[in-house]
Amino acid sequence: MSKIWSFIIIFGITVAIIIGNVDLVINSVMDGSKASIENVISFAGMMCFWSGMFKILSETKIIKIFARKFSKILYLFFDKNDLSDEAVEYMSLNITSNMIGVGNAATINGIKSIKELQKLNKRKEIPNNNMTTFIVLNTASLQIIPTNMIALRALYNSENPASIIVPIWIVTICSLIVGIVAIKILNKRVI
Amino acid sequence: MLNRCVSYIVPLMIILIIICGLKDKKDVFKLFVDGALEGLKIVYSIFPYILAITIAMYVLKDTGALNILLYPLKPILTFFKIPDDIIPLCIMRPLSGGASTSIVMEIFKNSGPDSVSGKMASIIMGATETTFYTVTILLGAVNIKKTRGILIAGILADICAIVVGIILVNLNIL
Repeated sequence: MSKIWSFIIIFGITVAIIIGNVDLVINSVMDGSKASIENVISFAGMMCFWSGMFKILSETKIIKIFARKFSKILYLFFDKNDLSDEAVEYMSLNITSNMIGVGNAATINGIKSIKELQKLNKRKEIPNNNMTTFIVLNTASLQIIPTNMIALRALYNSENPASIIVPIWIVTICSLIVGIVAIKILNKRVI
Repeated sequence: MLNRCVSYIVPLMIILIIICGLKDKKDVFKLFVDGALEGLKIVYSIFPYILAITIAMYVLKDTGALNILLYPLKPILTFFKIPDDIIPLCIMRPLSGGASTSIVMEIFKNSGPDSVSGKMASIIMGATETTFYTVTILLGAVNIKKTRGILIAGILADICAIVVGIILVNLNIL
């Protein structure tokens, strides 16, 4: 991550210097910081809202039953030994919120899951196999109905805004399989 | 029809959560407020990561460095019948949700959502996630810097999504 980030910044600034547009650098840094604040402000409220909602849910009996059901699916992908009950709870919430397309709720539950997984991680500075698999699962879009995309297409007067649902499913399944297979192989190779 | 049903899921879920809380005799309001505070702490702790990645993205885009990186790809694109305008989307998609959405809107405005590039953009946007951003935030939350195979696996999955998406549109079967 560190290498990629440094490369992007150094390469960008070097290009600007060579082209002779040095002013662009500071402008883009300013625009970037502004955009990141605007982003955070725009989703902070929703993140807090979902965090509050799921806090209520985490205290109910329903979630325990749900997590127990869901854990059977999780055991297919994850190593049972490094999986606490709390981790299973948050992970099942994370995956369900991803599926129904509530991004902010998914982020909150994702962060809580990774914190629970970290508790059972033996080497604290390196993610264990469960953590890597979980993150790759999160980078694949699991959303069943891509509501935002359909709304955006409708906004621009598409003849059939929902026509992309089936292709999106096919593409998601392919990329999910590739991602999971890749991380399973890499988990063994990269330690 | 499907869309209509989907819009009911979230409101019903909110009601369900509150009813379950009340049924188990919990102090629902206090739990909500506590949870919201936890959420605020999380937002606070992930902000630096969001800042770092957004700035890098803006530097890459605004200085013209992105175009230089893309230049060698041009011949490959024409060979595989890939429209030029979706390439910036493929590059930006793993980095930033906001920036890629604005690219998609630009494509919709210029070529229309039902054109070849419009369809490709819709599928790529709908079937992938902001990989780098997700990895940064999740690992940032537990203060881990080593990524092991995560980035490679995530990028492979994204490439697969882009390739399959382009093939599906070019075959024109769906």
